[in-house]
Amino acid sequence: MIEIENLNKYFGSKQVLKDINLEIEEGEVIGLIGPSGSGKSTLIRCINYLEEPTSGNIYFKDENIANSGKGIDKIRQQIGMVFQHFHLFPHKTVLENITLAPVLTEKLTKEKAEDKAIELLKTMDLLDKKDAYPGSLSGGQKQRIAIARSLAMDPEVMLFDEVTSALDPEMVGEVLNVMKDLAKIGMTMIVVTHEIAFAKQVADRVIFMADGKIIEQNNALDLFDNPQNLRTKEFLSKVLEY
Amino acid sequence: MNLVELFIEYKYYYLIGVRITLLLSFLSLIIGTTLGALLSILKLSKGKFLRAISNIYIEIVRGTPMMVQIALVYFGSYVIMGVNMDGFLAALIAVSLNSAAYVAEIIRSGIQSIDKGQIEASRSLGLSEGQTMRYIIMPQAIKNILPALGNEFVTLIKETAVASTIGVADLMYASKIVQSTSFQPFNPLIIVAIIYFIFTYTLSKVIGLFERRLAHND
Repeated sequence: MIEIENLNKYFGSKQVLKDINLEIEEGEVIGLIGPSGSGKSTLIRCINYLEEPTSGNIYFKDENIANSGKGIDKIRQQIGMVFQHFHLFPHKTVLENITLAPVLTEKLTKEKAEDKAIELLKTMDLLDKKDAYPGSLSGGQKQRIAIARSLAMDPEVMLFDEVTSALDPEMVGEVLNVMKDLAKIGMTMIVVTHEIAFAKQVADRVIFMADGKIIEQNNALDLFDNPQNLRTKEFLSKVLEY
Repeated sequence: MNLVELFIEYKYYYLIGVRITLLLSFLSLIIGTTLGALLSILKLSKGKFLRAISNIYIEIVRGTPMMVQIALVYFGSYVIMGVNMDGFLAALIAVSLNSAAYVAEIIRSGIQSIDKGQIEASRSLGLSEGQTMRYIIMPQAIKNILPALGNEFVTLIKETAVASTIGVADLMYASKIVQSTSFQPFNPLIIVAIIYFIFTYTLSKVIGLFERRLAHND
């Protein structure tokens, strides 16, 4: 579904992605781990072109994202993204946050979009918040709304960029549970995360990145229990120490 | 003669002054805000050349006195183009161009104060640049822009007094005429000060009302 070929990305003279090659199948759940500054976030931000690759190609369903021009909007409508800091629209109610994109992109009528939003809010257990403004919600609630906002577009793949890193510890679980449910119904997901336990439990494949390169990738169990590369071993021993 | 008597005696001059000052303020507010909005678009654009043009314009206008600008337009139109420009028109052009620079900066900073994450969230949902601007950025930016814009409007009303230096019969000009005909140096100035204050105070109250209504929408 997504194919990345020889992807390089520079910020100024600093190279943050070095010749990345990666293929992601439909329905796959990818856990992307690694130390900060290793390029994980930049990599998934390249996939929906929030960052422009310096060189290389990214194909989404055989369409080259770099050559899409104005078509990038159409591609992004099929790629959901959830951010570390939620980025809900503070001037819109929860319901409006969720219905805005489907209505403006003419994917759904206003009525259908609202029906869908209410359904999503029900599954998130947040229906009572539908007329609230984001400012009055907790971090965990905000992040679940942000996920609902992305899902309202019926994306084919979801990108998660350290979505639990800004949350209070007691709210991490409620967000991870929503993501677990998504994985169960077969959503294609790329999850940048520091939650090793979550990656181990939910990811089909875990990719370890460091210094802008993919160092090692394997199924979750083997990567965590039997890492091959020294760099991976070092990283895992540090994060699993406690 | 006390203030009231003085005002009644010379009300003809003051009323002309009021009319000219209000007309000048209103027209330059409309023109200045429109030009300022366009300038801010240039300043936020991706084109280096367009950005440079608006930057140079804004810096020059903000870096020179309004009184010099108004004289430049008034006398410059004759020297450069050979046109004998009407004083009111010259004042209107100068005040509008001046205000545009300040308005452009107000709008630019209002827009740039919105978290970049808002743009990223909107674009990642597949909304276009235009939709993002219209539905996500502007509704939030307007709350930062409006108070500063209100201040700029108040300043603009006061600054129109400079038009009297090129002979436009505005309020300030009226006070000069009354000073010389009534042989009173002080009281005619008090009267125009009061009138200016009534204008600016009313305007800031009206803007305050708008702001509260906007805040209420949250």
